[in-house]
Amino acid sequence: MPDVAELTTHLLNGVVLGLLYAVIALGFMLILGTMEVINFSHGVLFALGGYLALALQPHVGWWAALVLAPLGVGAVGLVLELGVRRTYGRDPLFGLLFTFGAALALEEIIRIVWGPGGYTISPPDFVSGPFHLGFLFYSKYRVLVAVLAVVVLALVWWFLEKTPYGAVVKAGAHDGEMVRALGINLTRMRSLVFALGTVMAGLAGVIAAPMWSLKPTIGAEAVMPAFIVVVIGGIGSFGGAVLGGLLLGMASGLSNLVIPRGSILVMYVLMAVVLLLRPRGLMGQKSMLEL
Amino acid sequence: MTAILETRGLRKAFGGNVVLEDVTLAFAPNRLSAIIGPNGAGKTTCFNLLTGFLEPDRGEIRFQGRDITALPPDRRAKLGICRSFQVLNLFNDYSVLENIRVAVPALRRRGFDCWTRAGDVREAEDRAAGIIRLVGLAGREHVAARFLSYGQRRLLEIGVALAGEPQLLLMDEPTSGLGSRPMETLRELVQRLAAGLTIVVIEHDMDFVLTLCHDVTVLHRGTVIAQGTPDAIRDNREVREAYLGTLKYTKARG
Amino acid sequence: MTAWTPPAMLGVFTLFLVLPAVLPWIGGYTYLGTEVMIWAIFALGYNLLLGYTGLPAFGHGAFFGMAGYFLAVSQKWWTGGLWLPLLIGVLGTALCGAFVALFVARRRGIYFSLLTIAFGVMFWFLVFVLDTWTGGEDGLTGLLRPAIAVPGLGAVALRDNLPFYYFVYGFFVLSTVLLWRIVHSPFGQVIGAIKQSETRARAVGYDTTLYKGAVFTLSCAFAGLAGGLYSLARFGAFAEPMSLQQSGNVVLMCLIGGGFASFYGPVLGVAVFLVLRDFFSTVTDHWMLLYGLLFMAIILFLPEGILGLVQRVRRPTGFHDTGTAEAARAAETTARGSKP
Repeated sequence: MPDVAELTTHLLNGVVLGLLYAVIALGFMLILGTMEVINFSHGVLFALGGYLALALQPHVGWWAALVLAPLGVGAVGLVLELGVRRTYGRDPLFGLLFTFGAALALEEIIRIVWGPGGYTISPPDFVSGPFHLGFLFYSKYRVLVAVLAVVVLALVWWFLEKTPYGAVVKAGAHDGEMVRALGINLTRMRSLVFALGTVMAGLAGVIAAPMWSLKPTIGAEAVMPAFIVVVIGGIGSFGGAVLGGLLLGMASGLSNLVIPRGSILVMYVLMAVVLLLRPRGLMGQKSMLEL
Repeated sequence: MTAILETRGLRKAFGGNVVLEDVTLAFAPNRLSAIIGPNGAGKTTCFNLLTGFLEPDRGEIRFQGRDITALPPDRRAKLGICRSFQVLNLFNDYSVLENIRVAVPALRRRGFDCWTRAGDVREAEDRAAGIIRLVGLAGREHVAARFLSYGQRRLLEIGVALAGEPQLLLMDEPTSGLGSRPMETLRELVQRLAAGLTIVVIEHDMDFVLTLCHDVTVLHRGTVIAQGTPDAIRDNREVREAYLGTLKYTKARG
Repeated sequence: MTAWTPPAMLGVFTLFLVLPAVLPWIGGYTYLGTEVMIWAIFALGYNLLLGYTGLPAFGHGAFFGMAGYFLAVSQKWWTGGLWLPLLIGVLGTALCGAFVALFVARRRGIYFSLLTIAFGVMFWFLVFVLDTWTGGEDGLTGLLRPAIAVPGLGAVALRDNLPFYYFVYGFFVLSTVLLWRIVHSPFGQVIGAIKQSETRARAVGYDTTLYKGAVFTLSCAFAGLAGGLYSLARFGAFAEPMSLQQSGNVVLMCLIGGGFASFYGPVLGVAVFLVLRDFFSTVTDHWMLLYGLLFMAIILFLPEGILGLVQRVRRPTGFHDTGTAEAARAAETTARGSKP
């Protein structure tokens, strides 16, 4: 029978995981909502973030790597978008397949550059070790992860709610005419959104790296929860991505207590239940994706 | 007169935008009725409600006395409510024959037949051939819809609706963009059909409406502002104000 | 005869009939031919969903893979034998397909893809969670190919490549004929209509959700047959084909060959894909890079696939020939003959 400390640890782990999922899913969803593209390479870009940080940290330190690595991933995202844009307006399958191919190629490139083995990354010195919170010892690093995730989510929220660009993105502006009428360069907007989404993936990869070991296949593992979060939370909703991420994280964390490998199953049961009760996701909005 | 189709108090809003308010209509059987009104009056929304593509926020719809408000579009089609669309909605890669044949009940009833060759369902082929002749597309059976001329596509659009053996035929702006030849074909077709079928058209072509239709309903900003015979409508001041000259008066006859 | 199997199909059947004799001469091997036929069954059934109904399912590898497990489990611990496990593989997979269809049939487009991915991944994980049944990462090995009783030949052992090749050949022929009938049946007309305009299909009286669910389940049944045969081919059931990556394979196969444009597209696509796979992996360890680049290149430059390109050059319709162009040409010739 798990005691209170163990329970709380798992709960907190769930929250941290959930916040991370939310960041990954939100980036994924921005691309999905704006360009109707399922970005399969999201996971491998997550991994790339971690690997770039690994490469940069010895040279520029942890904090600089935290900023530079995601930007590097964003640059890759910009290049990718050049290819993806040729699939806009066609059968949505093509965008999906293009990013799928990109994911395979990128994963292999990672394997070529860094090798197929795994790397364990230790958290930076100033956050190594546990917090002592009364009855509980909790990893300082995980707290930092949570804080960073919240900061990122808040920044994106601010961008969506308080800037004109964000308003257009929120409206799910796949309507080129409307966007142009507002005087916004559609092409540039799409590039920006794609880059933003990939930067978020990369950032998540950087901060998650010390928690999970870094290997080329971690990307595939990271992108799968993103799908589920988007289905659970609903497409087109910031709140949905956050809520979905947290739910998923907590379900994962808690079920690890009961059935160690069953956490995945719990994810899917959750998804099925949500789909049955709220077919559009918990906070999903009716969008062109349904037509 | 027992109406074949009637609505009571229909209301439809999108977000804060009320598109239809308290729309009560009754269409008599075997008559050709028109729904007219300026752009944005809610005419197509009305059709969407009648055919089940939209759900009303309030109100009910009855077809042959039966409440169909909650029925999905395919069920309504099976009851005999068939519709042609304002924006051409054809199966563009199918031939004229395939377009019409897939809408024929004889084929529809065998929809889950995975074994017979589609062309071997004689009843469906015959019915489709008849419809093709009726709408004036004979000789073009095997042309893919995307390769037809605009006028031919309009006729096919109606043909697909007719193929379903409708008791109630709803046509949304069937004359839109038609040249004089297809327009003639359409007029003759509609006149021939009106005898045994209830037809409701949404139209902007006032010549068509005034010369062919028995009843006219006028929608303006989501409400019914007038109902009556074409003559009564033509002389109605409110109607004239609503339109403010946006009608196409080609020739006002009789 | 032609009502059942048009000339092109007979040509394909003849080709595969003699393939084992031809393959060694062109640097191939019998097992490759077997693989091509197995994946062709999978891809043809999948193309019913993708090319004909326009539903981009992405995660179908899960159905291909689970069939192997259904077969293996039945053979090892339940019924034993060959035919019954094969049947159970098909039925079990179809049932899972019907279950997923409950959730996905209402959708289309991107949202449909998203959901099918999610479910595909679910089944992938399920394999590892249920590892007492499935053997987890190691898979379920030790599958047998029991001898079958062939009228006139007595008992034929399937352990060797050649007899197994013809065993699979039988199913390949059967599946192709079945799918051809389906595609040209009233049901085929309906799903084609749904692809071109689901709204119109509903407006003329079709419960499109039901049809989409039906075609989804049907495609899973064929995946089940192919997957079962695949596990027999490998003497074991493994999770590998169920991964998201492998699910992408069947989509690529359909696309390369021109599944949107031709019934036979998937078959050609499978052949090209498998040959390329063999070729790439001999060239480099990092063949996945080439593979990914190939994927991207096809999407950008040849989305209609090889047969689509061929068709576009020959006649401009570019979509599934449901008799339209042929009939039009026939009508044209008649008309020309009777005109002054």
